Amino acid sequence: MGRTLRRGRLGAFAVSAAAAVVCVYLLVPSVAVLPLSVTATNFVVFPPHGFSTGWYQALFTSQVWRNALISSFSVASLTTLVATPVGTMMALGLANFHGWLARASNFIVLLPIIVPTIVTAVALYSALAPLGLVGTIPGLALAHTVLALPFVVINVSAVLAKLDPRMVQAARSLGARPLAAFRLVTLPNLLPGVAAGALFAFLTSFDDFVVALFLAGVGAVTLPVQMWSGIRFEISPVVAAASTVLLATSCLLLALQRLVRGR
Amino acid sequence: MTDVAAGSLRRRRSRSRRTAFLLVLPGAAVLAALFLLPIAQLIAGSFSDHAGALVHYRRILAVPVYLLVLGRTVVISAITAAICLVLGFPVAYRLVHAGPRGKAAILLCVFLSFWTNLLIRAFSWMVLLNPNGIVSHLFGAMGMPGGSVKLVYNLTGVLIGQTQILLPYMILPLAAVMSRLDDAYVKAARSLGASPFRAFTAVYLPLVRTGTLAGCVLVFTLSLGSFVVPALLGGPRDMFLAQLIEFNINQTLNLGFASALSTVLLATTLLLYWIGDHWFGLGQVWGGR
Amino acid sequence: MTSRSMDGKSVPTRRTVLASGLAMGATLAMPAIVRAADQEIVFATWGGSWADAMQKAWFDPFQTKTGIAVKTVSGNTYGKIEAMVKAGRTEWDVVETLPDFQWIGAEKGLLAPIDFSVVNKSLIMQGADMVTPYSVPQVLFSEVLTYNTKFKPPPQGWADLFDTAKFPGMRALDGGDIQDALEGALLADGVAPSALYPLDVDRALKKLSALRDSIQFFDTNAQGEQFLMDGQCTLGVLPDGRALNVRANGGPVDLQYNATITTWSTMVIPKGAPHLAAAQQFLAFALTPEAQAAIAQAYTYGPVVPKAFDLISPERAKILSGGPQMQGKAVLRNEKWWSENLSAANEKFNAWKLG
Repeated sequence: MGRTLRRGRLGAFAVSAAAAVVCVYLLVPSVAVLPLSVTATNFVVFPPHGFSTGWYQALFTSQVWRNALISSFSVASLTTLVATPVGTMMALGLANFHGWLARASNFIVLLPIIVPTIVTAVALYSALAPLGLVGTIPGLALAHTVLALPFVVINVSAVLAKLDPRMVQAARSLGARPLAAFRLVTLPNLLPGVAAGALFAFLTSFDDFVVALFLAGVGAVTLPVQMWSGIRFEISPVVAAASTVLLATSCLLLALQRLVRGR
Repeated sequence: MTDVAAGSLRRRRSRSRRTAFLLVLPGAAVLAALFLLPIAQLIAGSFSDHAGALVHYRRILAVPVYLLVLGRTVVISAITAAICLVLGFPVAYRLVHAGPRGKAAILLCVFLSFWTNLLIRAFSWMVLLNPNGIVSHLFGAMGMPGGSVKLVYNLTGVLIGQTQILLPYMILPLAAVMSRLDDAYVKAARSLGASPFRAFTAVYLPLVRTGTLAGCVLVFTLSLGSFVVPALLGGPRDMFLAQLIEFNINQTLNLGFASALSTVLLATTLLLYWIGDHWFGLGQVWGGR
Repeated sequence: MTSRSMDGKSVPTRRTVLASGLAMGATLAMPAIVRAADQEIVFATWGGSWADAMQKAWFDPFQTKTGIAVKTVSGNTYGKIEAMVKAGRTEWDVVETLPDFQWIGAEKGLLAPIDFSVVNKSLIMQGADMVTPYSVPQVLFSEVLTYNTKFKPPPQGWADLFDTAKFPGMRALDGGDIQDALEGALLADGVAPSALYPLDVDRALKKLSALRDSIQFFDTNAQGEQFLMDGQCTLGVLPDGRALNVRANGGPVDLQYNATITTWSTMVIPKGAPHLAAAQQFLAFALTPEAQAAIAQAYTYGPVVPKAFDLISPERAKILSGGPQMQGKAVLRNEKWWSENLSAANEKFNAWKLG
């Protein structure tokens, strides 16, 4: 009994250690950006030469960057608001498909991820241009919704597949109407999947630049597009500064969320 | 079953099917209008060149470059998915089985890496991994000669960068499925005398199968269509097909050929998906019973 | 070059279904574009400090002179120009591109003809198809052999790029724009500059094979600068403006003008540009000697208008493309050949990279 316990503990320790190492690996490039943003030179070298907050100054006084930030947030929020419910509904509907119809529709849902983004960008452009939606926030959000849908569906479906259908049946047999059964039984269990899907949707939109590059007009330049031009031509530390600001914001949001949760 | 009961069952079944279709409709409409139709037009375009319907495809078959690059893209993507699985599993597990502080810490790491723009991360890796950079110095300090292990502008660089970027896409679906799992199954196995290892392989792994498959499919397909990381961190041999597609769209303006290349990529993925379904029951992931 | 049979025609049913619902939202969201009286133009650029330089040297003076504001936009890829024009929704008035687009864009019917009654063609330097009915040159730049200053004596020409014994270390070459690598290889192999075109791609690749393990390809010029800045590469072929940037930032590099291939960047007006007349006016302005001198002052690229050199100080002229230090040494690239053969040459290059 003792040996099994020790083996169990050893296993648990190994898993924790592995997880910790991987987490550091995940963090490394994001954290490395911080020193890059305070370099005194025009160049990006690690470790950086000199210290200067000039890049942050340049960032905050720039109308262009501010607009880019606002655009990115607007588009991503819109995308999440549309893609999450639509995607969740799709996942629920798809769960009731059978046989070849299920397989075919599952593959079709995956298509926006499979098709290289550059091709999707061209296709989306040709679809949205005649409608005059290029270079607008709603147009870009619509385009990003196409990209985000598969993620929502995959995440919700994965959790749905593990859901025991008998729970719903039990609720129904106890007299609950279909909508109530859904609301009280299915939905709470679905929440981790929906939450993950919503997160993916937001970040797909926020991070995307291939489609945004194509669909950005004078009116809707998102942050990645702005960064892209700041990287493509030369690696300006302003981009590193922008990146650090974003990171700081997200840390703040996470901290706030924990405080609100109260734990 | 009485006639009334049978009739009501039929009604309920057809109602549920109708509901299913209604649920799928908005998403299907968006996909059809904004995606399927234009993509179909693009694919049709690849078959309609002045010089003949199959001229692009003949070029793809005749010039070995394209199939070679396709092959390498598939292989490297598969390796990336495998590495992500191995690295992501412990993280997902700890995420689900940790206390609130642990959960927050892990989510922070995942979230932060997600929030850093792809381009920034790629450049960060370039700076960190370069032969005169900090990682090299670390290796030197640990006894290995600094310049001996080339970490970037080769396959290693691509894998390091690609894995780090795609890990969250493995961790989150895995965690979502794991979190719905009842501890009771594993505990039962252990109480029946199974070793931790056995309990893990025989009970836990099969139960998280859908999460594993979802994560692998996501990482694999995302990697297939990517081009930023291979372009920035890879060597000359590590070309991904999407780079060639991008070249033909943005440089030579040969949309027909680019469409043909994309169609080939799509067809390859179809094939792999079919194999996956056949061998691993991939369709189960989405509850296609 | 191929053309597509698919056109930007919208399917009627899709329009009626979607447009009625979305038109409302679209009109509410569409930015108020002032179209009356050509009050502004949209300039699509590569961005960064180059765009800042143009702002100072061109856009602000242009606005002061004519009252027409210049709005910049980035992401000037050819694919986007094509998509725009095909959809009949051209948003850009002037686009800066690489010279191969002069022909590629014209062939595909994507460009508006330049009005040479407004733009003074005679000011532009002679040579190698720099001016076409659909384009004017913007500035001169050169791909120059850049070397680490630790090499004494320094490399003398193209042949030294291939001499790994005398000049050890990695070489930084552009992995995307393969032009310099091929031309440099042929010149190093003994081909006379006058006999360079049409390029013998196979011969160039054979010469490069000897160097294969010592080449570090970069995807963006910024990467190339980085390689030479921190010493990862000891030799490289970079645009002169970039190499000078590295030197100005304290990098241990210098330029060998004996190995120079000069080319130019181009400005075009996409078909259906919303402010055509203003765009033509801008091009005319950018090609005056004063404007060309101003941009040469703001960024280290050379003027395409020879008269501009009268307005530039000799010290400045020494580091510009087309300046005295390059006379007799630079080879002017045959961009027309490249526009016709880029695809095939790139295919061979990719195959060579894999093998």
